[in-house]
Amino acid sequence: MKKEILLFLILLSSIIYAAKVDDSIYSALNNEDKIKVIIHLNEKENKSPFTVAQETASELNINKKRSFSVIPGFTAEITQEEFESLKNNKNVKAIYLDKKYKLTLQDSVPLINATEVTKRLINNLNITGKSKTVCILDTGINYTHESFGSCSTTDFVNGNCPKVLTGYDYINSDNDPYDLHGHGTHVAGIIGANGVVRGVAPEVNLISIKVCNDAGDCDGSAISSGLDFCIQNATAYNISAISISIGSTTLYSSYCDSSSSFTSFINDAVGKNITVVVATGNDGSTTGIADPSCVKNSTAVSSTTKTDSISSFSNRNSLVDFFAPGSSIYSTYYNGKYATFSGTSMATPHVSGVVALLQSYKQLESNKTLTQPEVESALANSWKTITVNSLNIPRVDALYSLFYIDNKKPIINLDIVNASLFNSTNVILNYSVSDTNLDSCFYNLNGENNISLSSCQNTTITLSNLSM
Amino acid sequence: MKKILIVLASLLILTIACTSKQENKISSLKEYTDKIDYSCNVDTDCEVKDIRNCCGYFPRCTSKDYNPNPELVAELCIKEGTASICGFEEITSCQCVNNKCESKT
Repeated sequence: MKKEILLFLILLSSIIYAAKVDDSIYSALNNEDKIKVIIHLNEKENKSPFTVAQETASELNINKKRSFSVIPGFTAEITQEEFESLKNNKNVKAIYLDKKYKLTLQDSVPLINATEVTKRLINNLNITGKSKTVCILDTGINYTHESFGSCSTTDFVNGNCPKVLTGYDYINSDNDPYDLHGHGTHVAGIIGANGVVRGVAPEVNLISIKVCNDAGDCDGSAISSGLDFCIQNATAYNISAISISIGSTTLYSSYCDSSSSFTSFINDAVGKNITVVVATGNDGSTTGIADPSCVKNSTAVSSTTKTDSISSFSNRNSLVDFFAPGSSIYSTYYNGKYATFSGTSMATPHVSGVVALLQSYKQLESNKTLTQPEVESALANSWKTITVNSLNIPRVDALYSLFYIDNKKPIINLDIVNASLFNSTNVILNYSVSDTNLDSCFYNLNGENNISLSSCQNTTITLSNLSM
Repeated sequence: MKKILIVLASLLILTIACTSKQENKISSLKEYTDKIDYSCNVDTDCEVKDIRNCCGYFPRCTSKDYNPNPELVAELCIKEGTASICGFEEITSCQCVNNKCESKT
């Protein structure tokens, strides 16, 4: 009897064989007539992966697109019917949905060369934004997110969060600016996430000011109060930038200082060396930008794609100060997970993060704070410009900005290796140099100028045939 | 007498027309947001539409028959002196969950 049961089970398993199937295939087939899939096949002895793929596709009459050469498998576009036959075929090991992979912070942060900055050292410390703070005016921040240190509400309201230091909720008038929308948490991640995703300045501190409700609409009075909070607390928290990914409906083609209710606050902040970084808005306008990005002393940011073209939704005109990536950015989300957002909102925090990196560097280098004109000049130092109305506007590049503010001279060590210096026509020198931003090294000798060295570190220079 | 009655009747019709128009008129952003039609029975009842916010483009999955009113949103934003966030979640497709259109991201 036992044998019969076993035989039955073996027979049953061969009848109801089913390949491993990616769950998202079922919902994709509910929405589309045809879906793109990646099919993995079981290996067959004495047959190449390519032959296995060829035979299986032909057996099932599937129109394959591309076969793999390392493992047996192929890509195809299939119908529901074809999926059923694939799923039940014994040669098929697994079927995966061909997913689209989006631009993540892992793409946009290197694109603006911020990763090149964070790995550099000054006084043996990495430049990561540490000891600097960015004040974010938005829908709040989920400070319990693992990328912000997984703080509890109690820790946050008691000021014991190491990443999101403090904040205020001007919508509900309390001291818990927790994000129930998602936009603010996404913006915060671009600036300073330090977990599964890493922001532009991964060790910067954040302040969360909730000025927008859970529908994403923001009161002028709350924004003013938020600006006031950041300026009041600038010294206590070492605030380098205020990041505002918010804009008005009315667009401006010239500076709006006389009509904006935020002008005085922005001027006050800038006077205290706080850069006020503001989104220009998402109307796709080529003539106007939103308030408060139109205030002269604000740093107005428009959006580009990962290929450095202007994002279709982005407002832009001659008042724009900088461009930064803002299309399809994958960052932290309010539900403790991650999400993809687009908008000039996403371009703005890239610039805020770079400001934190620059201020952090300057403090480590010379214990100084950059003034607003110095920050603007550094940000303007970029290899990439975007043309708007025949005007070239820089797309930020953190490394080029760092080069601009680097005033520290290299420390050079030179040792003479051969002792017979004064009676020899050949001299061997050991040379090394330490500096944060050295691209190349060269030396000049008796009118022979700019002789390049292969490396700036621990190089031996042999000077031969010297005249006595 | 007949003329007076005609004038009065005309006035009455005009008043009723104005009142009913006033009733349909959305007077706040909250009311606009609350009246967005997300109803559906199946996924194909839903479509991505630019419902706008005070910062511009703002896509959402709504009922495919819903007609957003960008001019009204702009008018209400200016009237209320409200700004909005300048970012939006990317939508790959729409689905109908519990008779409400939702985005798939």
